[in-house]
Amino acid sequence: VSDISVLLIEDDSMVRGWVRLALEGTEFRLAGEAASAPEALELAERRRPDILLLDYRLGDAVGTEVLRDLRRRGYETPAVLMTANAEAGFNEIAREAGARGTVLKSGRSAELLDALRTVCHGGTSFDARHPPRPSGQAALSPREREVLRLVAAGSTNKEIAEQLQIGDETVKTLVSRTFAKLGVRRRAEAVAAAHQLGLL
Amino acid sequence: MFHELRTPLSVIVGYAEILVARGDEPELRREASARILEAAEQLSGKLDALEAE
Repeated sequence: VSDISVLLIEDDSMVRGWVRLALEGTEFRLAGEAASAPEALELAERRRPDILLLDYRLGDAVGTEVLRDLRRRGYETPAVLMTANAEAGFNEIAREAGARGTVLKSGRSAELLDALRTVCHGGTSFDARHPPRPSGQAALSPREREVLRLVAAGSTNKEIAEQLQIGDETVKTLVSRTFAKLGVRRRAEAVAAAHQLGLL
Repeated sequence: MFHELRTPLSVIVGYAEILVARGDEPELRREASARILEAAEQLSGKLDALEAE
């Protein structure tokens, strides 16, 4: 009996087609398919799925940010994040955004189903093929994420201070703490990190 | 770049696996074969672009 509804958020139509087939004949059924962040928010609201299966790189958005947005709106639906490659620190990024699992888009339906089942039964399923976050790096606070987004957008410390209505010294502290957590030393490296985190 | 190569490859693996398990369903066989071809062409295009760089 297909009684567990899954909202699939994935911008690649071929991958969506594969997930659709992989879930056929299992206890899961698709509650909907979203190809973009706005569609995902709308479908989550309308369909109230039991579980979210989210792609990390959505083209116009990043799965972790979509998930954060949903959490801010009060949705506690368990979520599993998908990505094509094994990436260092991905499990940590996913966990911090509120996901209960990660799955590699390997094309192996058993891996996908295992992750969904574990998470549906209240467990966590983080794919161990994602290497751990490099030592020295740590989770960013919401304020640090905001600063990183502005640095990546090309803002100077002074502009950041004005925009966030905080003092110059506070900005300096936030910037250096953010860089330290990311393990970067230059603004250009911070831009690359921001891109990776989906803050651009 | 690896991400762009990996996605069509995983689509090929995914549909091939489904073909192996359920290849006796004609409609599914057609869909899976078409998707495998589409993903292989996409992968080939990306590799051509890489080679040209």
